[in-house]
Amino acid sequence: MTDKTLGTVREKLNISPQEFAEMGRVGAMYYQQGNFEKARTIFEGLVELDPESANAHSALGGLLTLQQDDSKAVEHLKKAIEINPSQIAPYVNLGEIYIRQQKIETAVANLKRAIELDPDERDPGANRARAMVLGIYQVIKSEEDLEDINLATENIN
Amino acid sequence: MFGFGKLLGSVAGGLLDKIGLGSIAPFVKMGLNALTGNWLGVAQDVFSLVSNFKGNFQNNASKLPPLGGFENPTNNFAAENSPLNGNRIVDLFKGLSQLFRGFKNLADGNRGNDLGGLSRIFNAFRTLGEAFNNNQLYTNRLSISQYTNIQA
Repeated sequence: MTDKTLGTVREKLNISPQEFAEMGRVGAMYYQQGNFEKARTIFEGLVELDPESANAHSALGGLLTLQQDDSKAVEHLKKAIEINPSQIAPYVNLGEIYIRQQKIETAVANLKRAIELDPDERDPGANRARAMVLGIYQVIKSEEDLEDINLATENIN
Repeated sequence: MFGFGKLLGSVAGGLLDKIGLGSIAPFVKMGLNALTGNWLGVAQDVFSLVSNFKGNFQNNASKLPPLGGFENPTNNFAAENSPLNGNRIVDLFKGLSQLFRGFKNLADGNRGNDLGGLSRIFNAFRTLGEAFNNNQLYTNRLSISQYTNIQA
């Protein structure tokens, strides 16, 4: 929640960037432990504390992607990108959601962006995007192989 | 292209399953079948991306949807230097209570969203307070990997 004249709740409570990041890390800890409800509670609170935090929107969007709450996830992931277009995670998660929604062209565009932001293959999120692209590649190849077999069969007959 | 045969073998061996994405495989096939627009462009993008893979990423792929900056190791703080503790959370609760009272006093029928937002912040602080009151958690706050060994 924010009011352009009054500032964010984070500013009103004098929460420093370090404190805010530490709160986010506790949320990430719960997420890694599999305690998704506690993680969601924290990330939702952080988005309210500072609606202009790309990290908070990205984290909540990632968790909502896992929970397949896709419409809310897309909203937060797009907001994260709008605030900070150089974050990798939101593109990866949008790619996953669009695959689920069978919007392959949009999915590939987002996965491509994530991969381009990590040319050295170091980021685990971008590597997750690579795995998804490889999965799509395999399906395309198998479809092509099947067409070749069908064509060969027709020629024989 | 490097180690391409090995890459494909990995996919066949369940790479998507390995990173928790086995369930999306059928959607890829259905999505490609439903693709009526720029099929060739999509295929070209995919082939081009795969041809540039170095082949070392499989073992360092996130098994969950990534969160972004909060997972970044550069955000780590040693326990003794941590900017947050139980007392700070108590202070934040007090500050939030004052804000809450202020908003309630301004109640004009249009403040429902603000109050809902404040209640979400209250819930977040309560959950954070629980984490910081967990002594084991507090004294081991060196990295997320250490967190994962502690019961929530």
